[in-house]
Amino acid sequence: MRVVALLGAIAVSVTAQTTGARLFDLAFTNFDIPLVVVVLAALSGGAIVGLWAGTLAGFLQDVMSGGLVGVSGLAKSLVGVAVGILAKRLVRTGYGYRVLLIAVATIMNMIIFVGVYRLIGVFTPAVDGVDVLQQGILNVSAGVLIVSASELFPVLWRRIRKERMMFKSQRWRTN
Amino acid sequence: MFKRKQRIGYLVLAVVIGHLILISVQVNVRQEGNLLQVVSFSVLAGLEEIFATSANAVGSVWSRYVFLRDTEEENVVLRESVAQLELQLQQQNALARQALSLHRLLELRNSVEVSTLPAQIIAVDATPWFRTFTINRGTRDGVQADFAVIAPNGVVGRVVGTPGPRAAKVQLLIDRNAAAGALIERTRAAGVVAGVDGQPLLRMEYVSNLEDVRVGDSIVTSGTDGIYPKGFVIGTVRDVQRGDDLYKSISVDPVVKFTNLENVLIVLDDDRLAQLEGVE
Repeated sequence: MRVVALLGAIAVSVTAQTTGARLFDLAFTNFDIPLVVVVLAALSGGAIVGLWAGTLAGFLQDVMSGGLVGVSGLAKSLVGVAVGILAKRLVRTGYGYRVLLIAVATIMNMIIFVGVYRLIGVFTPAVDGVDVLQQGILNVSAGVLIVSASELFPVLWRRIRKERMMFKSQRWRTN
Repeated sequence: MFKRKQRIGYLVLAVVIGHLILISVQVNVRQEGNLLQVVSFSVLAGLEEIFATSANAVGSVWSRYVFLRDTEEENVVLRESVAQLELQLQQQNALARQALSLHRLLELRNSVEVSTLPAQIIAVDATPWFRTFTINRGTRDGVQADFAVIAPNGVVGRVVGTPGPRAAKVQLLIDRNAAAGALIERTRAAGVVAGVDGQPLLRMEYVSNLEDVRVGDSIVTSGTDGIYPKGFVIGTVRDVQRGDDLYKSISVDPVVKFTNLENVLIVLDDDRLAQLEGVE
């Protein structure tokens, strides 16, 4: 079940990345939702989950982009492993901790991605500090939103079910 | 058999080697997409189309029935604009008639007549480094790799990779890996127009320092690349400088506004389609 949820989350994140940017007139915007999903998966599942989540998310991202297939996969799988290892060594809870890891993962992902292209010599992506900062902020914001939604949803669901149960029992008593 | 740490290490190594092999294969020869790539692309493109359609529907209800602020003022402005455009249209019609008579006079063949297929853009590139779109037309509609994609006002790009049955990837002309054979319309000086890394601009290369190029000159496709039909507008010269070597340094503003594009036209290469049908 968790594997299916993770696969779904990765597919939705890649789709959200490609369609979301267009819907909000932010074509070619500098953010990376699949990376955020990989970091969150590695945080909750560890290094191996991070590795596979990164491989799949990167592969799908490469397929849906104009670059070489494998570069994003390589970058994201290494980021997934690194975050998984860090998550095991550090305390796992709190927004600040997740925010920090998403920011670190953004920088690491960019370094590996750009580094591989520079090594191959196919092209050298022009990246400056502003790009890194912009993507870091956008990724952290996306991460906070996803975590908040994932934490809020079960609470809301439980509350709705509880209220429904109470309503049903009240109706039964009046009958 | 292995300890957990060792297992992770071996797994990471295997994944890294796998990725490096995959990348190396493509660096040497940009091969056709394999089955896994085509299937993944098609499945995700389908998901993207569902997302795009539902979001468009919600957006349409919001903008048409709920968010009607400033509509009255907009109406007044639009009416004025329509009046001006009608006037311009009359002038353009007069010019077109004049051009047509000159055209007949020179007995030139009308080379701009091409068969096209309309397509909707359903997604943009999944990374910020490349400039590609996904469109909702694929092999079922006869779309093949290297088909030119245009908008009513100019050239957009070309189909790249192996298209899925109902979707295809379009590399925009502003992608840093894209290029097209081009002419300066006024002087007929030939060159190559290519994308500029990280900017929505184009550069024109291989135009001799001896050629007369001015800011505002129109750039059109030359048809020499075998992809884009001859005579379609690419953009206008934004800046021109004498180069250090043999060629001028020319910066070009694309005529198509890529961020506002919603629909495009795929230029169907009738000869290639006929060849493909013959093979099948």
